[in-house]
Amino acid sequence: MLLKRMTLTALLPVFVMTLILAFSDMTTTTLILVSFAGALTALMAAWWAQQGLTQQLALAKTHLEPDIAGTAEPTSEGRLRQLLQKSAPIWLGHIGYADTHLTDAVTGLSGLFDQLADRLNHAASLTAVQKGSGGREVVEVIKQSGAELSAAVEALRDTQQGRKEMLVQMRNLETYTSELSKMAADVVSIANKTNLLALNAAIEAARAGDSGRGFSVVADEVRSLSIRSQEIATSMTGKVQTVNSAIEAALTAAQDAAEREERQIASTERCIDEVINQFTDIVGQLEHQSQQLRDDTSAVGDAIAGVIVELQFQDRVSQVLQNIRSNLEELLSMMEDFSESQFASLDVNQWLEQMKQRYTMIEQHHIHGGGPQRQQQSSDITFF
Amino acid sequence: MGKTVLIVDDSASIRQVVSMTLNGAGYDTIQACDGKDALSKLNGNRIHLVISDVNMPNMDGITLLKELKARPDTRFTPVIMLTTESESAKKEEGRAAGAKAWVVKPFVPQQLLAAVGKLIMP
Repeated sequence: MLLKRMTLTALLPVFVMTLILAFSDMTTTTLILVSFAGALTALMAAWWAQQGLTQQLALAKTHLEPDIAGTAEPTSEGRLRQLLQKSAPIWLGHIGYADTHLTDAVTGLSGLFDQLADRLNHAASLTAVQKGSGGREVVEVIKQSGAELSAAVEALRDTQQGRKEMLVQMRNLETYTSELSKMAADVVSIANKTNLLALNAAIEAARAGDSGRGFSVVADEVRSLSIRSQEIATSMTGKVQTVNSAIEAALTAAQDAAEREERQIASTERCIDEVINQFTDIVGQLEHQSQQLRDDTSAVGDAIAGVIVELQFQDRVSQVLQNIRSNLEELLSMMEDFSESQFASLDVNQWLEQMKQRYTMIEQHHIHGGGPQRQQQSSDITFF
Repeated sequence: MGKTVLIVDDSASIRQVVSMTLNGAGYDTIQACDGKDALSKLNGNRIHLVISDVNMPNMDGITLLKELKARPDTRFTPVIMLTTESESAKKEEGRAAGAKAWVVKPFVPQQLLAAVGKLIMP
């Protein structure tokens, strides 16, 4: 349109001059009129061309103003580029914030968890000490103590058995003294008969007169001996009865003592059994509690191991975010630096392949390929 | 006195959980945030084992591994690579540079301890 106006503006004076030349043989008045008409036509053409330029400038201004103001682009590609240029730094900022916040939070969390695990380990070590002092060792000590106490009771029983044998011997003594009493009674009987015999001998000696005088002395002596024997036998019987009474008293005292000992031993045995049973119950409870503590400690250990695995998610998330940041930064740099022709020749597949090469985790490759979001199995260990 | 393990990782939380795992088993630990930091921590410390990440700023794990193998004082120090990288090509790169084991994150504490225990005793 502008070209058309400019062409016409350039052609109009030529057209007017041609008219002047054509009417060169006209009269002066006619020539003046024609010249005036030509000048008017030229002025009109100039005004028309100026109007056209003004319109074009206005149109160009309309096109250029958005560029100057930076608010919009006439084409969709330009708008998209502008959108990315404006949005990408915001996204980068958000990703950076999320990464920093996540890292700080998980670092703090793992620090606190470290302290918690230390305390749990301390508690577990105390449990182990309790296990040593309150578990099987104590059971063994109590069993040994029970055996030693039983041995002591057995020693008491042996002593009691000795005392019983002594009582039997004392009862035998009683039998002997009974025999002694009987023998004393026999001696008394013999003494009585001897006395009677001596008396008869004395009567017969008196009847014999002088010839029996010597025999009478013998008979008196025999009689005195029999009386003396009777006295000794009576004394023996008394002594034997005294000894019998003493033995009986000793036997009674020994019997009472033996019965008391028997009761005491039985009572001691019951006490020992009760104490041992109580200790065994307590140790059984301790052992049960120790087992529970060991089970709890083991479960806590497993839980700690699980938390340690889970805490490592931050490292993986951070790597994914860093990759996205790198890609966005590169895209932004391209938006700012690339010309239209460079964009036109951009190999998208190559760009995607470069993205892929930066991945470190198998999950990133799966997601890139549009596959399921599978997680890396923990602790894949290769020894070289 | 326990054996000392140098833990190299740019993630503070990973350094912390590895350290927690090893300390609980009786190992002493020193932490470094990248390869360069790790080399600076070698001076004055007797290191019995190195556990290193692969992708780190300033100096990556494979470069650190090569540096360690080039130094006379750490030539025979066993190195475990602890990384999210599971590609066999990367593993092969680590093996060629002298790594003793390649552990892919996330690690299970007992298995990491078993790997460490195979190379050094606490």
